[in-house]
Order: sequence, then C-alpha cells, then structure tokens
Amino acid sequence: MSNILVVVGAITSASRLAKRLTKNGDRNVYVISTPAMLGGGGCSYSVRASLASEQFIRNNPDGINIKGIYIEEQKGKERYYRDIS
Amino acid sequence: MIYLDNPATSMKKPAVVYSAMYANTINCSVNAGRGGHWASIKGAEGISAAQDELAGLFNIRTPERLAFTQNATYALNMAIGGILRRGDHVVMTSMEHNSVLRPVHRICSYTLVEANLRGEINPADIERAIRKNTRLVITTHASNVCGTIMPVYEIGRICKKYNIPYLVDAAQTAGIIPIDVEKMNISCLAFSGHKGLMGPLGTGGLYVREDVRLTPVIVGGTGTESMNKNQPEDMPDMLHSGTLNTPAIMALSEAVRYIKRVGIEKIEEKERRLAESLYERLANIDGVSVYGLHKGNRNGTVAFNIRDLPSQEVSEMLSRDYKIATRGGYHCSYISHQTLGTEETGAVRVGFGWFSTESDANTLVLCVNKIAKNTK
Repeated sequence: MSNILVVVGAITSASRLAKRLTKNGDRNVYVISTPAMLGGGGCSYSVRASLASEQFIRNNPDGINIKGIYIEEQKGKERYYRDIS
Repeated sequence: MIYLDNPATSMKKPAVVYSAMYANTINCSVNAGRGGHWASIKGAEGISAAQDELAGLFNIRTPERLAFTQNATYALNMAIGGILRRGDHVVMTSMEHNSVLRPVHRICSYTLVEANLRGEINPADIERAIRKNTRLVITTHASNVCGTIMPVYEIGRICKKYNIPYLVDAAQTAGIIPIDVEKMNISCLAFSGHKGLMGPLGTGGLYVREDVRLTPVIVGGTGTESMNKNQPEDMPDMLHSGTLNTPAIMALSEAVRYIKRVGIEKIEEKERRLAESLYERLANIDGVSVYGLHKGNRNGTVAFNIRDLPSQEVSEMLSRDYKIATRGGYHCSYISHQTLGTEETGAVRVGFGWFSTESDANTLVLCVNKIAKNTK
C-alpha cells in the first residue's frame, strides 16, 4: 500500500495540513512523528495522506512550510520512502 | 458589584469560554507537540484551530505566523527584544504602556512623539521622528488610560514608505476594534487574549510578518529538532518554547468565535457609545475633570478626576462604598499621564466591556456625583 508523506516540522502545521486534506475529501489522513530515517531524530511532524492528494499538497493553499514530500510504501512491516519533493 | 476595569482584564467572559475552559482542562490538558501520540496531536489541533480563528479576525494570511504567549507584555518583549539591538533607534508615542517603554528603554535610544492633551498623535510627527538608524516604530492601538485610538493606518503607510517594521500594541483593541494587519501594514501585532478578546487569563499572542527578522528571546524545548542546539527558525515553534496552556488557548478560540458571531463592529459601537455618554455626564458634574476624547476615535475607556483628590483614593471609595471596580493611579503608563496633564494625581480609569450596561454607567455617575458633592 502506498501513501504520500509530507514532512512539515511544527505540529500545528501538520495539524492544519491534515485538516485541509480532510476537508478536501481525503479520508486517509494522519499526523505522525516524522520517521527517524527521514531526519530530525524523530523530532518533527509529518502528515500521511492518500496519493491522490499529491497535487493539493503541492498547491499548498495555506503556505505551510513543507520540508519534504515522499512516497511511502509498506512491504510487510517495513516502510520505504522515496523523495518526490 | 459593578466591574469597570476591563482595560485590566474582562472579568466576565462569554459562557462558551467557561465551558470550553472546563471541558478542555478535563479532556485536553495535554502538551501539544510532544511526541506523536493521540494526546499531543489532539492538543495541536486545538492550538492550530485557535491560530486559524485569530488569523481570520486580524486578516493574517499565514496563521502559522501567529505564536501564543501568556499576555501582551510577553508578546511585546518578544518582538522588541527580538528585533532591537544597541545602537538602534525607535519611534514611539508618549501614550505607550510600560510594557513597550521599559523593554525599549533597556535596549536602545528612542523618540517619544508627543500626543496632545486628548491623547491624539499627528502621523506627520511620527514621520519627522524617523532617523537613519530607526529600526522600529511602535505604537499602541488605543491608550490604556483614556481610550484614544492612534492613527494606525496612516502610521502603517509611513512605515511602509520608509521600509521600517511597525509593531502595534493591540492590548486594548483586539476583539473590540477591527484590526487588519494587511491594510494597516502591521509587521508585528501583540495582543492580550484576556481583555477585549474575552479569553482566559494567561493568554495572548504575537503575529510576526514573514519579512521581520526576529531573534527569539526565550529559547528551549519546542518539541521539534531536538538534536539542534539552536532554536528552530520556523514559526510558530521559534516562539513556542516550553509548554503551551492548551486548554486556555482552546477557550480563547471559542472567545474569538463568539466575537465573530456577535460582530466586532457591534462591540466597538456599544463600548464607544457607553464611553461617550459617560464622558459627557461626568464632565457635567461640578468638580469633575474628564480626559481624552469625548467623541470619535476612542474605545470604551474613560479617565477622570474629582477636584484634586488622589485618584487612588477615589477608586478606593468607589470600590469600598459602592462596589464599583475602577483603577486609580498611573495605569503602568506614567508618560501617558504626563501627556494628559495628570502626572500629579493620576486618574480614575473606567473601562467598559461587552457585558457592561447603561445601568453600570448610571450607577457610576450617581456615585461620582455623591463623592464630588461630599468633597466640595
């Protein structure tokens, strides 16, 4: 299963982006701590959303400070990230 | 009991604020932005929603540029301490609160542009005071002593012309008078959450526009970039060191929604009308002097004196004998009193709020009349 992961930084940014995505119709939206492998020692926040939301995220209507956009793929228990920033 | 010290804090809040404070204290006493668990995220949703509400009220394009503080004093110190350095120069007015004067006085030189006896500022005087090393222009939006509103639109235009950041102290106007940071060209807006916004005590905030370079005064744990020895540079985290008062901020959010439902123009009109009427009635009492503007560019605050009675004494009589809460003295702004000509006595300050009534004003007038007659 593939998702899109948006690394933002502040939790309020993540919360705001998640709210906008949900309002935009994405039912697969979660705020999470940024995975350690993506940098920051786990100390930033990301939003997991459906692949279909990619363009909406790139349009970024709220001017949220997006630090990175990744495709997240899950194989078994492992998750892999491909940078599409 | 009559409460007329709304410039200090709005003692009476909308019912939704009390219920939100209660519910969120029970259900959401969480540290937003500490870990990725449901509680942290829930808290963040509340903080983020509050940012959105306030951004809507002040026409802030990017809600993330708004950070929460415990009051306007902290917000002002963050802005002033974060922007100014030794050798800089500041232009401000002779009606500023000590929460502006003291932090500036500690750091650099400044020019106090004199207001007239009614507390009014001529924007041209602000422009004339600008120097090569003027780093910041700061004005209150409305005097906390006599209620006169400053010409922020015109001052904002001047600041834009000279490309100087403009910090507005909106402690006395947020939630009472429409504020549009874009149209007013406000670079930084400091506000109280607990006065005109009718939120809980211990809330306030600072908006920092994108083009303002600000060094955080308080640094520490932000819940992000833990490996970085330097403070994060992203807003609002840059100014959100330590734990936020999540339940209070969420209750502030409800207060802002309430204000939007009521309509800020309605609030402005009511408080101004009460103040203008009181001004006139007090001025007609033998022995009473009233300060500031009678009508026009004013909020709901009125200052007066009875003959040469010390203002603290009058305020004490009103409280002790008539259970009316007002504030006598210098109101943390001695320079305002020097401007208004009340430096010897201070003044009795009355501040109407949204929940003040004509009956409150009527009772005050009767009591002032009694005190004035008894001290002839």
